[in-house]
Amino acid sequence: MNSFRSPGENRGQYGLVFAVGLAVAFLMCFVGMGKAGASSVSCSGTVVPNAEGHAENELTYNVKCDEDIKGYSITSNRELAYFGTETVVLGTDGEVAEGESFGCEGSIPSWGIGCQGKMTAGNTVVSGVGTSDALCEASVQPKFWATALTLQDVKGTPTPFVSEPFLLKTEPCKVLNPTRKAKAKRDRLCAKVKSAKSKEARKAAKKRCNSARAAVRNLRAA
Amino acid sequence: MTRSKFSVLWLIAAIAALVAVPASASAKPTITLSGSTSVAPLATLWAQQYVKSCKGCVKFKLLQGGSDVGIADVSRGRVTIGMSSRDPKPSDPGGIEFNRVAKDAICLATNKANPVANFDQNAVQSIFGGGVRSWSQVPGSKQSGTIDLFVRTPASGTQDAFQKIFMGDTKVFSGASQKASNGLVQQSIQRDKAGIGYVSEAFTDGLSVASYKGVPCTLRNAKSGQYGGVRSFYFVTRGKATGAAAKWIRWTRNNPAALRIAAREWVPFK
Repeated sequence: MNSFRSPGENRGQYGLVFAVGLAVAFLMCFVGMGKAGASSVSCSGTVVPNAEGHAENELTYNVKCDEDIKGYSITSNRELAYFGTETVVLGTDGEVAEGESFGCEGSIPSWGIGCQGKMTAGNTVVSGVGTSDALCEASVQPKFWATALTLQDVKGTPTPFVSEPFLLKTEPCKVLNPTRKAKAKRDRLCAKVKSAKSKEARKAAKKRCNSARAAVRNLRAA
Repeated sequence: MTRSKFSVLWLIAAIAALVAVPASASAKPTITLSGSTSVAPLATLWAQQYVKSCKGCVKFKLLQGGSDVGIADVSRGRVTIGMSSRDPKPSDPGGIEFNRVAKDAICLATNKANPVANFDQNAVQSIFGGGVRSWSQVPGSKQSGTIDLFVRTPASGTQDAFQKIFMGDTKVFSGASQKASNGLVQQSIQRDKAGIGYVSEAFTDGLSVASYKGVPCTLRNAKSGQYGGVRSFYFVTRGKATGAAAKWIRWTRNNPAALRIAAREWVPFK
């Protein structure tokens, strides 16, 4: 067995533990500590950037579960600075499922949000969250988890159960920390302007420095 | 006390001060909000921008529940700010202050398959009061059969504002289906060809929006003051707002970025 792990893997594990803790804490707020147990529900979903959203760095998430749910939480290894306060629940036909919705609450900034409401098995809840920084401005890949709250009959009593966190599918970043990398490149290239020995070399270095500066500006603007 | 003991005490005091000052300086105030589900979407957008612009000087905790819940919470000191989408009422608890932060249009909406161009106040009162129960009695409707009314729960500020602005003294029909949020009313009308209800302008996607008294329910008409169905959004505080809450409320009313955010789907403070 390979006992060596990269720092990224460790961070990923910490992130998962962190997300589990957060998700359980959120859902405990709704159900009351000590009443929740293991859950048989299974959920899946996706998180995709939403360029047309009103919030900065907005992402659209959708979550689907194979049992009726009464609540869910979304947690992330990215700091969240926005969340949609209301959701849309779509039926299996793709139409809005009447009477099914969630109201979401949480802190800004935070690492997750909690939502209460109801959704029938097989339907999909859609809403949004926004990250504090651009999604890829970090040294690890973005991760989002959904944890569901279900009510199950235990000896005739509806009893709340909290699920495990389910990892939502996210398109991985092609470049992590692009702004930091672009700044480092700019500094490296611009330092060569001063150390250039000939006039031509200085001119060429200056050109490269300017284009690196422009790249940083573009990333900031984006 | 000997001189050496005195020096030691001074040293301890100095270290304690050094430790205490940065700790207190770094403690971020938390602004807790609860209340209106209509105000909440605007409050989250403002909170995001404010945290960014003041570089994390404050943290927000946002809960919902409806305007009445927010007002009750702030009067009991449970939250810093109660979000309200209705005007103050004589029955509200004493000692609270309503700070207007924006305005919002309430739109009358029907299913896309049953667009109705305009409602005057009489028509609204007849339909929502239960006097007219069939679409065949509604001029301009393509629908026949019973009208399905979707209204808000009594704790809602939107319900209160709708009663005050559109209904006057006419009571809303007791058989109407009560929904806890704008989104639920929106969804119900989207699914029901015989449905009619009222929602905040920000929740009109996928609905047919009718004019009221001949004026279309649009952001432009709400901003210009032409549209009559406009209500105020308030941040309610216990007494005069102080500290971080006061700063934030001032920011929402005056900062260009805050006004730009409000102008996207609501009527900004100025």
